[in-house]
Amino acid sequence: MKVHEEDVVLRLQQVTKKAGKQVIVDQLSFDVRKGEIVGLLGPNGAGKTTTIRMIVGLIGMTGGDVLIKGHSIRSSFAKAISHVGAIVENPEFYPYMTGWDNLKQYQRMTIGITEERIKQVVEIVGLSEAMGKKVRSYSLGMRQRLGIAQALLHSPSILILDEPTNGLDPSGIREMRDYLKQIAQKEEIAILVSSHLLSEMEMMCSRVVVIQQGKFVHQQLIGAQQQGQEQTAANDIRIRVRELEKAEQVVRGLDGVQLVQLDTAASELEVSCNDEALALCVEELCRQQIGVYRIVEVKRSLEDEFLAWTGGSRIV
Amino acid sequence: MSSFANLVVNEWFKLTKKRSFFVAFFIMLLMPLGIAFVMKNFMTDMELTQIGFLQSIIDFSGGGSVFVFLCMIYAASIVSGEHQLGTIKLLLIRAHSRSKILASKLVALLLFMLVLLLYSLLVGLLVYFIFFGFGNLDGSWFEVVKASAYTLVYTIVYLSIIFMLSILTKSTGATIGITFCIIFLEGVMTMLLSRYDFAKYVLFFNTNLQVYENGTPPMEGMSLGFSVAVIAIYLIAIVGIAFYVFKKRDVA
Ligand SMILES: Nc1ncnc2c1ncn2[C@@H]1O[C@H](COP(=O)(O)OP(=O)(O)O)[C@@H](O)[C@H]1O
Ligand SMILES: [Mg+2]
Repeated sequence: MKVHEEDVVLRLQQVTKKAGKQVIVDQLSFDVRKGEIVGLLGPNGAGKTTTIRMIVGLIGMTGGDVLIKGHSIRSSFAKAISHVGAIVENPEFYPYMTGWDNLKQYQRMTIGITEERIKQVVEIVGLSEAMGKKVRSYSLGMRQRLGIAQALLHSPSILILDEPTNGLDPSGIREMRDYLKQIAQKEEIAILVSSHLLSEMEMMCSRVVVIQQGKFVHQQLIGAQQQGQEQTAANDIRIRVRELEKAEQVVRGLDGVQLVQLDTAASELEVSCNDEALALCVEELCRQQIGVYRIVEVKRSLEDEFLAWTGGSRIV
Repeated sequence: MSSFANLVVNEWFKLTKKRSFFVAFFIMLLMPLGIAFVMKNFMTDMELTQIGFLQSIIDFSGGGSVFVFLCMIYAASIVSGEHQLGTIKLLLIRAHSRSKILASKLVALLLFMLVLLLYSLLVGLLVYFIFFGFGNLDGSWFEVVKASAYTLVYTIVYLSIIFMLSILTKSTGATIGITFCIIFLEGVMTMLLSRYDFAKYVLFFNTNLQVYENGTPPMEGMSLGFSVAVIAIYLIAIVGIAFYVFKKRDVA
């Protein structure tokens, strides 16, 4: 992956938060670039909300700095925050006002937001029908969407959402995921989402940053990016054949192909090799008329890897 | 419109879009009606002038205490309400400094106070006309202005204290509770401390500017100017603390 410095929208530099003696966030550093959906992943109490609060300047930091489009949230708050749209924890609004009046509040806080823009973001999150209703009567899902609308109003460069799917039912979670992907495309912005749910991050993000007890643990590309990167790396492949013993001999005789295991019941062998070696392997199997039934890549789930990174502490 | 004016508009809507907003205006209608009713039916021997009627409505040691009370109730939630709703988070992540946000709240509050005062005077006048006709125009309007000014000074002192408490406690209930304790203690303290000379530097000895009307100051060395100066210094300190805490605070 090529790194363009000018694409960095959000940069955390050694961000630290202490409360008394307790270190809640410990020298956390990572970047978020334009067009990325980055997941901030960690178990409950890992410090995700605290990190997000520091990014948006709601709480001070003990050390380090946060740069948004190059502006420090500490020393030039107004400039830095003007590029941010966020929901911190739950999306909370004035319940006695309508959805529209709530959005008008935030419109008045930024010069140059037109009524057309309000209508546009309301359209994006699919709330047009509910704009005239008091927020008191909104469901959590609707408030989440109003929260996103609020965050998008001023066309920010980065959208920051703290556990946006918390409390939503499965269909709501799915909707949220679709909105975010759509927004990332339509609005061409970076998105940082926190979650304690790995499976969710896997479906939504292009990269996850894993933290545990306030510390950076690992970061990992997901999906298409991940595959692109690993073209030359070894993959685990399962091959089902008609004649298992003959196949085993072929595989053992090939350079660059490692036999991982034999599954006689399924008549399968699992090998580890890169793309080129696999091509050779398949050619050889065919030449010897061993009969190849199917070739499947074995995906190690992110969850398995996650357990490896965090030394076994579970997040599901 | 300037960005600060927009913030004040926002705060104004937050006050007025609540259903409870009209309660204050309703009460400030009932109060003069009640006074007029009693005056008309049970105190027929008293000659009541327009001016006198308005004074009785607005004077903070009389009917005006209701006005002060109403302003206090509205002030108590202006910052803590945002904490309790959780809306403070969305409010503070805009491109405005916290001082500016807080100043807009203070301005909206003072605006509310002035609107309620003007409304009360107007309603008082109407009620008087309805009950007593256009009869008695004796007396100077300056008396009404003075009574209003004394009430405003007294109200502003309390509003600033409540404003600070609302920020410190982040709780509307606690703010109102503590304020009532202060009001209660104010009377007791005034009695207990009046023997000591330093008492004249205590805020609550100075909040009633009316006492200078009849010549003799409550304590030696006190004057209208002295009291105004003491009030100003306290106000600056109280509002200063409010802004300082609000600016530095971690919003969780
Ligand atoms: N103001 C605070 N004082 C002391 N501890 C705190 C404070 N805020 C958060 N914590 C602690 O910091 C840890 C991280 O909290 P949080 O950021 O909310 O985690 P997450 O959002 O990842 O679940 C928790 O253990 C929490 O108890
Ligand atoms: Mg959290």
